[in-house]
Formats: sequence, structure tokens, C-alpha cells
Amino acid sequence: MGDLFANLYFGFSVSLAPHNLLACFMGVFVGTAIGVLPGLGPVATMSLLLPITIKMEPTAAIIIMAGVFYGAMYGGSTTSILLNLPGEASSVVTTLDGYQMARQGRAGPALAICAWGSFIAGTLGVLGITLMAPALAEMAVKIGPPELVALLCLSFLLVVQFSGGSRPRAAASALLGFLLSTIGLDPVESTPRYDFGTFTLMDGVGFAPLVIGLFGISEVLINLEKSEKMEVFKGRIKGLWPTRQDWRDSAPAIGRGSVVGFFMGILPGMGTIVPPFLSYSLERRISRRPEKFGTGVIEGVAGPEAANNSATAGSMIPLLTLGIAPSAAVAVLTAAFLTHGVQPGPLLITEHPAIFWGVVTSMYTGNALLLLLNLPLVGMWARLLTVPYRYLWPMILLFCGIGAYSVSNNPVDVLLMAAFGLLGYMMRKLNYPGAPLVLAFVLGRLFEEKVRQSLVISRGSYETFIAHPLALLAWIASAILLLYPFFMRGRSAPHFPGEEEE
Amino acid sequence: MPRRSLLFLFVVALVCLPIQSAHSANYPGYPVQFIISFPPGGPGDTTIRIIHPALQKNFGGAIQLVNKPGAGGAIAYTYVKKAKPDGYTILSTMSAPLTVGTALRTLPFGLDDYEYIGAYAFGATGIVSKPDMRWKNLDGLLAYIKKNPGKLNYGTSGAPTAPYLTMAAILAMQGLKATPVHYKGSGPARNAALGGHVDFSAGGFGAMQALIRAGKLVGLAITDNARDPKFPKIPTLKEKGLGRASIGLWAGLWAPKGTPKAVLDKLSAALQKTAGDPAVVKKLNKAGFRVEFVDGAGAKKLARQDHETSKEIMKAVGIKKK
Amino acid sequence: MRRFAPPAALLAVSILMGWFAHRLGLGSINRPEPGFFPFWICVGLAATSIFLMTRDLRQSPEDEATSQAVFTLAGYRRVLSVMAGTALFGLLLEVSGFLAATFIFMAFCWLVIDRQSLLRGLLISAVASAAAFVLFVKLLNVHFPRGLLGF
Repeated sequence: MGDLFANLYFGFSVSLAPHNLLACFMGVFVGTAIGVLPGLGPVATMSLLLPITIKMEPTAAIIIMAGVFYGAMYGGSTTSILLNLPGEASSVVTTLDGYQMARQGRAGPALAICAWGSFIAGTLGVLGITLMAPALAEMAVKIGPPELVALLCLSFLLVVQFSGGSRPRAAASALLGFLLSTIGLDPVESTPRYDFGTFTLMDGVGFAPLVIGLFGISEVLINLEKSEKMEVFKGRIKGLWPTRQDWRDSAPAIGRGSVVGFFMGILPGMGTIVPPFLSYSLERRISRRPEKFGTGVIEGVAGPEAANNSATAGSMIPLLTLGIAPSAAVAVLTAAFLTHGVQPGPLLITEHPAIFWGVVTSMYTGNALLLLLNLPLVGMWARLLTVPYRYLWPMILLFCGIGAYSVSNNPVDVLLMAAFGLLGYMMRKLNYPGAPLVLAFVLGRLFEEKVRQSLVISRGSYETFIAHPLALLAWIASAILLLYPFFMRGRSAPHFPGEEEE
Repeated sequence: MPRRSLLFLFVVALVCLPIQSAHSANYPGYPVQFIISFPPGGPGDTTIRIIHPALQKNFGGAIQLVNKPGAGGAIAYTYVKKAKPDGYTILSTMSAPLTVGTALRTLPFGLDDYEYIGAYAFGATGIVSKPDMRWKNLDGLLAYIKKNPGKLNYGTSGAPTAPYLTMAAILAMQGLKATPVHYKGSGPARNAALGGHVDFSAGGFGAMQALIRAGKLVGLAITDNARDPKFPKIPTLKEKGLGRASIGLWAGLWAPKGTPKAVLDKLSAALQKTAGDPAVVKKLNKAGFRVEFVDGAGAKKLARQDHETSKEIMKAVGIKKK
Repeated sequence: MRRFAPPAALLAVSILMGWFAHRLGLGSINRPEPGFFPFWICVGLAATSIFLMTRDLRQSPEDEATSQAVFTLAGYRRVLSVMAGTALFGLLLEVSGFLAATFIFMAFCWLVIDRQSLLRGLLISAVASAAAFVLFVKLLNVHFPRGLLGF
């Protein structure tokens, strides 16, 4: 323990040095800004910043890059809440209740609780890194393909079980997402599938065009079609800050979201996209008012936002301790280390203690700076909704287009985004939920890859899926979830509105 | 509708009016775009980002790095092939999509569609396993496979990649059998070996070095011409008489066919000077690459050689071109 | 009828994609090949859509009135022209460069779809595209294809 305090003291002495503090501020500032802009994610921005930071001293450069990474999670929720347009892939879930809150004139409390939730979860996540990074990283590597398959199944069931709405339609939406995820090179033999002879589809459908189209563009279309006047927000802005009741509702959700996000973030492939979904369904499950979810409940915003922030912290662990990048954004961070001639990995902590502890402690400071930066902006963002929609929508479309393009600098992604906008528009008109599609799309790729790898390794034996204790545990949990509705039949089963009698 | 739309079309026409682009006399008149066929953080991305500041200085003009990842590099290669050969669009990537990719698949580009500017960073395929396995070196591993044919699994960086071809070639040359498990890139393949999900892994050596140094993985062999001075104990395949399984993995610069010679020479000279910069060399070594400047003609020869080797291996292993 | 069409479309998609998947080779359950997953997803999708169709056939026609979907011709035209404009933006990006493509796109939105007056429409388009240029190209350093004008 004494060691830990000495290390933390040393770390803060590095990260609080004026130039590092400035670097931290710059990083989180840029991170928030690009988080707000849809599509322009941390991956693109960090790679654009790399040439600039290369002239800096390594610690400062990596502090900036890390700041962009976790700072983006703060900004990502802003457009989700205001425009139903996820600023980051990880903020898809925030649209469900956040946007409804904004339409009721409660954009202020929603944005503020996001900032606070992000701050609390971010700080808890960094605390997690400080206390148990090496042990957790070793554990994460031990999780092989069969265990991941079981965990993926469990995650998926959790989300489907408690997502509400029409089950068959949600299932159709999810299956469509799964089908979309199979476009491109197959994950094991690299055989092209559904590419129709074009290279653009060889790598599959990009996540950014899909999400921006399905949520952002379709929202614009729905609004445009409604009326010539296009009054999207009729209500008045009711208060900017969360009430005492809001806090009571959100606090436990933030706590649970932080824990879920942190541990999911460490797992390969889950990244920061899946944890918010899990947090949302968890909150819905244990809520006393599950029927209100989707109509603008604050814990449906607080939980997922906390989850995506602690997931960023969790995903830093494999990088800092093993040199492993669990997501694309962390891969850029790896490049940042390497361009400075520093090799991230098990020896980082002994070879470059100043960088390791400096970066870790800078994340405490960065999260505090982000809170200070974001809270004053709440009022400004909430006022954005008073701009007449006829001036707003072309700009929204433009930002969406730029976002879709800049992910891989491919103009075809803009066309894909438009196509998914049309699909999203149809789905919303016809009451097909979009969130299951997105989740199935993300999990689908990983699921197929891991199932097939497991089967290759086990020579086609299905025993492998239950041979590992963790996998077995996940399967048992899944079975309980599947059978749960039957147990609850006799009692007062939670009944969701919008769910049709079947 | 007609009048407004006509007006709009007029605006479109006005803005799109062609205007003469910069002359090549004062090259580079504006920033040169380097197209990278990997996502940020990928192997071919890291190398160019490391040399970028020095290269820019030696080149005497601004260089923008643009990632156009996708389809195993095919998107970037096709984009540059079609680009105007004015020296403002340069391909900066690893050789594999061109040398190995065109052998494995029918692609709309080939070895002769580009001007070769030069190669500067050489990577190797590394074969690794956990330290507590029953073998301590490559010979031990091969002997173990011989005793247990078809029992072992090995991770690869993907089906259409050089490390897989190399490992498959080694096994084929020795008449051995083991099952490949394809992962998405060298990192995941290495993690599979680290976590004990496969018995050993073949992937980019650069991705493995940190864990080898920490003693968490053992390097069994690398494909390069000579031993890595940082890891003098890891033998090369050449020493083991398996040199024919080696496929080069190198980073270089290419230009669209027909780019003026003056432009190629200017870039080539800048690259040569950069590759001689000790600070650059040190950083590239840290990232797991050996630095050596090879000029355009030499790079073309290397590419041809790698391409032929890939085809030979495919024939020996029984992989069909898709 | 209105509720019948979407599942029917889904069924068509699943049959088409399932057929493509089948041609890729399914392999066996112990050794799935590239077509395995897409094929069985398609089977699942087809089953779900058939279920949705039969359920809707059983349901009384009053339910149809409560369905939110009300497509109007005017609405459709707006939706399709917005989509066309966005697609145009994508196509123009690598032809005319970022600034020109943005300006054309903005002008299209405000002049053709929103029917602003000519001067006003052009003015706000110019301001919006200049602002986007400064924000993305100058401040955030995003690399866009260079147009014929050099930006």
C-alpha cells in the first residue's frame, strides 16, 4: 500500500507539472469537441493529432492522446440527447431516454447527469486501473474463444430479454443486424461474402455509417416529413440542473454502470459499445418503473453513460500492462507510444515509470477537468434547441456526412450512411426498434469469429463451450434468463407497454 | 420546380469549373498526400508515422498522412493506382497486399502498376509460444509436432497473410501437420498464444517483442535474413534451412505509374536520408523493425521475389487463388 | 396491408441472402464454412417474418389504424430528395473537393428542399460551408480530398 501512495505521489508530480497539465487540458478539450461532432470519433482524431504530438515530450504526448480518448466519451452524449444522433458509437443507448428527456424540455438535467455520471465512472475506472491493472490484464488474456462465445450469448440475452417493445419485431431487427455483420470477409477463412464484386463491402459495413444513418439521418427525415414548419421541440426548457429526485434515481445507476463498464472494457472486442447496452437493460430490469424506460427516465441516461466511461478506463489496462490493444482507439494509442520510441507492455511500468504513472494520474486530473469543462456548456447546448430547425437540419446532415467519410476517408461510406438513413426511417415508421440491430451488428461479428475459432481449436467438439468454468457459469446464467419468464408467469410479471399480447 | 432546379444546376456547374492544378516545376506546391492502407495504429501506419517528421524535413515540403484502410489494403492500392501521377498522391504502406495479396486473390492491381520509390523498414514473421510448453526452441517444436501429428493448434495473423503462409510452408516442407487458427491480425494471434488458447502462434515479430522481452513469450524463430541484435538468441529460418518459407514484410513508398522521374528521385533521396537518421532508426527498432534503405529498383526486385515465393508456397501447401 | 409489407420484404431479403449464403458453402455444424452463419441467420429471419405476417393476418383491421406508419406522397418526395442530396455530397467529395461539395450540398438543402429565397439560401450556404471548412480542415486538420481549386 505504501508503494502505491509513493507511486501515486510520483505520478501526480509528473502529471501536475504545468506543461503536462496543459497537455491534459488540451487533450480533454479536443476530446469533448470531437465527441460532440457525430462520426468524428477518437480514432480519426487521435491519428490526426499524432503528427502534432510527435514533437512533444513522450509523457505529454500520451497524456494528450489519452485525454482525447476518454474526453470523447463525455461529448458523445451531447448530440444523442439533443438531436437523437449518437456523437460516438458508445452513445447509441443514450438516445433512447436522453432524447425523450430533451423533447420534454429536460435536456439540461440529462446533459448534466451525463457529465456527472461520466466523471464518477471515469474516476472509479482510473481507480480500478491504479489498484488492479496487472492482475486483471492477466485474467483478460485467459478468456479464450469459448468463454467469449458464452459471454456474448449472455450479453445478448440480457439485452433482448429486457429491451421491451414487440419481441418478434425486435428479433427481426436483431437478425437483420446480425445478417449485416456477415457482409465482408468471413472472419476465419477470409472468403469474401456479399461483396458483390466491390472492394468497399469487402471489409463489411462500417459501424459509423450504420449508426449515423440509422439514428441521425432517420431522425432528420422523420422531422422533415412531419410538417413544413418543423417544430421539433415544443416544450419550454424546464430547469438546467438535475433535481434531488433525479439524483436519487441516477446515483445507483451510475454506480452499477461503472462496474459493468469497467469489467466489460477489459474484454477483447467488447470495447465501449456493448457495456452501455448491458447497463441499460440492467437498469430496466431492476427498476421499479420498467414501463417508463424509453419515455425519458434519467437513470436510463446515467447508467449507460457511466458504463461507457469506465469502459474506456478498463480498455486501457491491457494496453498499459501487456501492450495489447482491445479496440481500434487503443491501437492508435499504441501507435502514439511507438512513435515516441516507447514500447507499451509488461515492462512499461519499470522502464518508463514516469510515463506509466504520469498517464494514469493524469486521467484523474483529466476527468475533473472534463467535469469543469462540460457543466458550464450544459446551458449553451440546451439553448441550441431554440435554433429554428430549418436552419439546423442541413448542418446536421453535413456533420453526419463528414463524420461518415472521415472514419476511413471513403466516400462510399457517405452513400451507405444515406442508405441506412432510409432504412432507419422505414423502421421507425413501422415500429421496428433500431437498437437491437446495432447491438446484434456489433456482437455478431465477434460471435461468428469466436464460435468458429473455438470449433477449429476443439476439432468440431461442442464440449469446448462448457469445458471452461467461466463459460459454464455464463451458460447457466443464460439458461436462467431464458427460463425466467416461465417462473414469473404466476406472479405479477413486469408488463411493458407497447408489447403486444401474443 | 424547373426554374429553381436550373439555377441550382448553374451553381453546381460554376463551382465545379475546372481550374488548372499546380505545375510540377515547383514541386511540391502544396501538401503531398501519403495514402496508408492500414487503419491508424496498424503496422504500416506506425512505420510511416515514426519517420514522418524527419521525412518531411528532408523532403522539404508538407506531407499529409491519410488512412484509407479496407479490403486488406486493396482500397488504398486501387485508389493510388487510379490517382493522377503528379507526385501529390503517394502510397505508403507495407508490401504484403501487393506481393502476397495479388498471389492469393484476383485483384485489380499488380506489381507493375506502380513506380517504386523505395523500401525503408523491414519486419519479420515471428513464431512464439509460452515459456512453459514442452519445447524450448523451433527444433523441439517440430519434433513434438512430428510425434503428435495433427494435435497442435497454431494462431496466425489471418488466412491471407504472410505469417500464415510462412508457417504453413515450414510444416509442408517437413511433412508435418498442425491446425491453423486464424485471428484478425498479429496482436490477437499473439494473445491467443499468451492465453494458452493455441499452442504457438505466427505473426508480425514487432507485435511480439514487448512480451518476449518480459519473458511472457518465447521467440522460436524469425524470418529475417539475420538475427535481430536485440534478440540474439532467436534463430532465423535461414539458419534452420527453412529460408524458402520466408516472405519479406517491408514498408515502402509507391507512386502511380507515370509519375515524373524527378518527383520519384526527390522522394527517394528524402527517404534514403531519413533512413540514415539515427533517431529514426532507434525508434523503428523499438517498434520492431530493421531499418535499411533499398532504392526503387531494389524494392521492385524484392516485391517480385516475395510474390514468387508466395506463389510457390501456395502450390506446396495446396492453397488455391481466389 | 400496410403491416403486411415489411415482413414480406424481410422474407424476400432473407431468401435472396440465404441463397447467396448457400452458394458459399455451409459446411457442417462441427466445421461451419463461410456460408453457415449467414444461411442460418436468413432462416431465422424468414421464420420471424412469416410469424409476423401470420400474426398480422389474424389481427383485426382496427389495429392497422393505430399503426404509426402514415406515408404521404409529399413526405416521400422530401425524404427521397434529402437522400439524393446526401448521396450527391458523397459522390462529389472526391470529384470537386470538400469545400465545393459542401457548398453544393448546403445550397441544395436550403434552395431545393427548404425553398429559401435565392439570395438568402446562397448566403447561408456560403457561411455554413465556410464555417465547416474552418472547423474541420483548419482547426481539426481532417484530410479531405483536394478539389480542383486546391482545397
